Amino acid sequence: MLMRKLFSCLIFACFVLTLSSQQIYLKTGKVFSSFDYQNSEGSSLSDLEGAFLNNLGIGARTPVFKSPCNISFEISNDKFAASSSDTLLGNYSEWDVSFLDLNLGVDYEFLRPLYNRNDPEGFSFCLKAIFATDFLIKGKQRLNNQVFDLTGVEEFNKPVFLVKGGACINYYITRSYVAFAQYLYGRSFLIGNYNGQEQLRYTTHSISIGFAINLLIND
Amino acid sequence: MKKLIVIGLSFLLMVKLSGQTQGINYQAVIIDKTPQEVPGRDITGNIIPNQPVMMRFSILDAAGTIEYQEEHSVTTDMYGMINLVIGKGAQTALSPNAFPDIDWNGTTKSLKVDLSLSETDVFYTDFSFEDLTFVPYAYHRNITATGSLIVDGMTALKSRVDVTDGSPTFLSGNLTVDELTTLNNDLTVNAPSSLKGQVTINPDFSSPGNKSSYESYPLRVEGGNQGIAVKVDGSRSSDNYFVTFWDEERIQGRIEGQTTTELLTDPEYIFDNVLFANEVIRSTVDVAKAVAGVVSASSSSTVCAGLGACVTAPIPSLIAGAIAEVVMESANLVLVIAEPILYNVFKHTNIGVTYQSGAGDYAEWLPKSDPAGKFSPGDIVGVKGGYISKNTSDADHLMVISHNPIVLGNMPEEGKFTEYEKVAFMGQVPVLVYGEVQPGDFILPGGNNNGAGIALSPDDIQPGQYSKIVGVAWSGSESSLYGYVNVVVGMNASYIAQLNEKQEKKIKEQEAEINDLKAQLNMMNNALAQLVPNYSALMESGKGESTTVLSEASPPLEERTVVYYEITREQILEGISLAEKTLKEKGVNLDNHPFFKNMSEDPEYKECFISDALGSVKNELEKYYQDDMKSGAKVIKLTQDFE
Repeated sequence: MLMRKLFSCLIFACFVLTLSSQQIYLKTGKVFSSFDYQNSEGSSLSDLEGAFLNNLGIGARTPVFKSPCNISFEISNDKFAASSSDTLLGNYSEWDVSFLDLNLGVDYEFLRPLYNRNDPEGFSFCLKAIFATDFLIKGKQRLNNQVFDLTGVEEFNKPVFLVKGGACINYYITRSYVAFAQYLYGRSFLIGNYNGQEQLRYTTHSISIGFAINLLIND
Repeated sequence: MKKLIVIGLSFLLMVKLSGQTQGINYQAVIIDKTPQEVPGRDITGNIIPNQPVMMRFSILDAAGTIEYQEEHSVTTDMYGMINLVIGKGAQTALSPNAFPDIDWNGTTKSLKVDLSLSETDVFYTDFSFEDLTFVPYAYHRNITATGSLIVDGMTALKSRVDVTDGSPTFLSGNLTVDELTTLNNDLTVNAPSSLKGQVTINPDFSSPGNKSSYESYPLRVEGGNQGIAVKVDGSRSSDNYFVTFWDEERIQGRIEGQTTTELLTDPEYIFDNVLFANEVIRSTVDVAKAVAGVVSASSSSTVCAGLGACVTAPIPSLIAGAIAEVVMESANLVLVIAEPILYNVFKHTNIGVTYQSGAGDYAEWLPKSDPAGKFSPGDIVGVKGGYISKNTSDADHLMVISHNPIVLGNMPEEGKFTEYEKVAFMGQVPVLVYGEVQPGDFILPGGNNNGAGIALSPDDIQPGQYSKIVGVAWSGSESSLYGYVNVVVGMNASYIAQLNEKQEKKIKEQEAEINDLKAQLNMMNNALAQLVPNYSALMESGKGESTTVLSEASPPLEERTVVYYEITREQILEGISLAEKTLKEKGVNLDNHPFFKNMSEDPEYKECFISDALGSVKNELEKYYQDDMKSGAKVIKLTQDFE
């Protein structure tokens, strides 16, 4: 129930923010995702490896009361992949999933060049925290020589909630255009069969670059 | 992994029939029934590789009772498989039997398998429970098939086979047994049998049994009209012993092969033919005597002194009687000649085997005149009317109690053996004799009617004792009291013939002496007739009609007249009729007599005999005629019949 309420609040916030945002951006990059998994016995999967996959997202950002704090809403497509092999049993597993990633974030930007300068070029830095929820778009799991669709599978048939945090660097090209690069570390809450004592979390490391356009320039 | 619970099983039972394997091969793949948990779909059907496990096998009967249980400590291979042999594990304390003692009796058997994934902390969980739907261990010694057992292929049984409960066993094919075969009950063979090995019949008779009982004999041959056939390899000879009789000590007799050569050298055959030859000789002499008697009867010799010759006629009845005697002797000669011919034909036709035995005589059972009478082997007995006793005084025949006959005939009825004794008819037999005996002596009854005999040498025996001869000693005895000597019996005719010849020779010598004395007496009469008047008339008045005297002393040659009458065919026929009448009166059956049968049925044979008889008499008469002519007597030969 809590997750449903959070999800509803997130959707509402994104809608409001989108209507009142002052900056929109487009980003792309690489996401290194991995599973943090413990089975019901408390054992981790051996040889569980993550993978780099692309992500692509668009978002809107708006400052909060002209302060260095900004809130943002972002929709992205994150692709996660992981693989695991068990030499003892001879099993090999591979996951390849694609999520619709809804992010509601807040960042604090400092050292931002003043807009009132004629030449506003310059760098600024920011610290960013995001609450996100992921929805499975498609996914497949390969077990040895068999491939299964993960749609409807327990761990993947519910939204995944994550918190992300990271830093970014912005380069103000003009007063209207900003290029940025950011690193985010994300970790999901427990997903899947909570009662079955299996514990699954995602851990993500995303590096992305993007281009933002300031829609409203306030002096 | 150790905490995984086995949920899946794939197993394979394979029966291996091998003389080296005492068990059931078992192969299984142990599969983890708990899937491997991974994100997304869990991985099921995982094997448990390289895992030390404990396997427990239980074979249960239909009621679920454990018949056998054992444990195995085994480690799965890299593919999660185990390979082991049920029956080679460690028998548990719950197992009531050892594996070889499992009773595969055809009822439902189940195999329950339990698995423990730890060898140290053993905790068994059910692994599988399957019915054994076939006999898993056909080589096992305890298999009970409640239904039919059909084996299409070759079956090798390396231990004993028991067919119990009186169940019959039928074999439609050949039965080959390489080793000894023991049958503890009756054997019935419904087809011809061929036994190529030596066969010994050794019945386990608890007692000898009654020798007259059919049940006492180990070998009995029944069915069909023939008994036992014995066939030897190659041509039979004396080297082939068809049947040999043994006792505890040695061979006591045998039936052996015989060839023609061996028959001709067989002592018994030679002996028999000598007997026949003697009989033929004697019968021939008898015929010759009879012919001489005809000549004598048909001739008359009269001495006429002084007044010339006078003639007297022979008596017709004497001539007919003499001819009848010729006929009868001829008939007997025919029989005597026919007998050795038949004997030799029989012996040569039936040549094949000869009987060899340590026993020496041929005997028959003869009844005792007194059933309670006691006899011992070697006793001389008298036979009167077919009954034996020790009274030899008025016996018809004198015989000896046999000791050990080779052939024993006239077997009495069952239960009457005590009323009979074995009496030797021919051959060698020990005889109880009193006094000294030399080989060749005649054995005669001692006269005391006690069964003992006495010996008389051939020189001492008198013609009146011929009929008392029991036999001839072929061994001697120096004892002055009683002793047993080996005596040949049944050959008396031969010896008596020899005695007759000797006696006849002596008679001829005496006749010659008598003739000399008669000649001297005639000379004396002639001399006295010249000296004494009426001497001839005086002498003639004391004589009657003269009959045939062939050898009486001859009168002076110029005064003796001999008349010979030729015998006619009618006289021969009359003699034959007289002979037939005489023999019929003696009870002889002439219908089967070879001589008289041929005479009546074969005219040519009859004419031939008549011709031979006339010729013989004529030759004999001619011989006497010539002798008388040479002696200077007056001889008259008449050829006509006289009345």
